Amino acid sequence: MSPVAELPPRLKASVRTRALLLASLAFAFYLGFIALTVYRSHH
Amino acid sequence: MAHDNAIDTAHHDDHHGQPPSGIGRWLFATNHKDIGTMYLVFSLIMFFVGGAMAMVIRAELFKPGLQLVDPGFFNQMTTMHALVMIFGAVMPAFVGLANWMIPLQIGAPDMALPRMNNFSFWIMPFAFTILLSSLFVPGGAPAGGWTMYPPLFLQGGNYVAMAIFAVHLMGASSIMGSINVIVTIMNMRAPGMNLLKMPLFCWSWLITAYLLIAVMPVLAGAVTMLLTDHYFGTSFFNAAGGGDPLMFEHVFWFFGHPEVYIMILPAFGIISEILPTFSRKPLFGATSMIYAIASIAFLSFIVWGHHMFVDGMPLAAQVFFMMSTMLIAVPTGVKVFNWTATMWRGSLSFEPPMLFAISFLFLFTIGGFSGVMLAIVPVDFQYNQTYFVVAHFHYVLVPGAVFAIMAAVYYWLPKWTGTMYSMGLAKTHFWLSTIFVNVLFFPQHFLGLAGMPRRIPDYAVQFSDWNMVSSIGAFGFGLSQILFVAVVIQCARGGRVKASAEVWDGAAPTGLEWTLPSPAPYHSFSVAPEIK
Repeated sequence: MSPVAELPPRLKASVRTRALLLASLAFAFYLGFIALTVYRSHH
Repeated sequence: MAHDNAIDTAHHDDHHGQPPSGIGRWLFATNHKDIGTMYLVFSLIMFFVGGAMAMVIRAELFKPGLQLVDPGFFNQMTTMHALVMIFGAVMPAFVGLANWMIPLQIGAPDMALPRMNNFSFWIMPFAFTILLSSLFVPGGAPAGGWTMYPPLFLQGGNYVAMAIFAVHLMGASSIMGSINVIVTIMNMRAPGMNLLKMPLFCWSWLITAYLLIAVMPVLAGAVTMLLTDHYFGTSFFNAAGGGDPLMFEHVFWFFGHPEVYIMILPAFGIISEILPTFSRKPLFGATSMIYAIASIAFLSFIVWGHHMFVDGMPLAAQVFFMMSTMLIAVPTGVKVFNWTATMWRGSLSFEPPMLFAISFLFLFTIGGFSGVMLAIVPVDFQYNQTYFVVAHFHYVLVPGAVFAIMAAVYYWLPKWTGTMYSMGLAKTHFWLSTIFVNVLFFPQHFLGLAGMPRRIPDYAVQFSDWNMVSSIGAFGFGLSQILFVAVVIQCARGGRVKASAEVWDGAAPTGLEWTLPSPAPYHSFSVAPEIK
């Protein structure tokens, strides 16, 4: 298999942090819009 | 541009390993080039699947009266054609191009998250197997339009769960792809490549990736609520239970309008790469191009109401959405004029990528103009749900997004394969596509203005002539695309003329990819180039 190049540790940490932040942002949008719909249907 | 001084590290990489052989190379791929190729091949297959559905639609509409298929199946075809083309053809094609080109353009060895890259590709064939399988279950495939409006969508059979699951999978794939693009661009740029030195294609994708992360979860939220309404007794969009069906339209189009720009911003990036190369001039107003893309992306979040003018909304909201929509013409105009100014007094040559780019410039602008017409509230009242809308968005998506994808393939194919393709065949493909795409879609403006509704299998006899012309254009356009496949396969199997590293006279100053030999080595930029 083609090897996945290992990134230097600091870069790897930065990549992971950024990826997790973006994924959390996406999940927040998902829940946020469901919550907004619930709110709107009660007001 | 600043890439002139890039150090060519390519030939140091040649001995760094060859692609693994066998099916494992593709199943367990982590190489951005392999994953890019898989995305592009997948997208091409979906282009023909969606195209076949379009042929069914145009064959049925060739003459008035019900000819070939029953109306229920016709509605399944219109719905599935849209879903397949949007999520299966156009979006994966741009992701494929991003995978191939972003690491090459920023001087990175690969995407930042190669295993996630593999995952986000391999979700797609499963998602589309599920979606397309719904054609064979009792009740058939979704038939209420790609917008999936309740209550109509929820009155269907088994397809409800299948389509919703497929949309969730596509969304997860897109979000992972976007995270990868953003992290790659933010973390993996070669030393010295600051953001303003980055090629326009990468810029357009960076902004598109943020749009995707913001709106794909909104679509996922909307379809999750459809799912619970249908199977778990909730009433998000069910008026009888205290919900509001119109709310779905708001949530859907909050996703749907940025989605339109997700399908066109990378095209803008591609055109901004190709025009300078074949004009032998730097891109006119490169920085303003970046601001224009960012402005369009921002505006895309505040215009969703223009899809719903006739659904009932306060006058103030109508005016707001009309004005905000028209504002988009300003940054779009900046781009069109900058592209024109790039060509002005350039030393132009007309190879296939340039021909497609110029065609894009003219024909996308037609789609843009009809968009401004549709933004006007009282005018939209007249045009809404007619073929004018169909003509508008097909001009934006076919000679817009699809032509840009073809331009990109013709531009970078020699870099990918190492050989030149048949210029004669590619130019024939271009001329046939450009002529037939206009024969196909231009008459639809007349049909719409005359009042022909969209999404119908039969129509009044006064619409016969232009429908026949449009169908002839569709068959011609569909057949012409076989030439595209022929050109690509011929080139991939190894053409007669080897491609140089620069490939196109005038390409070298536009990006780091041209510092690599053709074909680009399997592992490239394992030592980062220095940009001064």
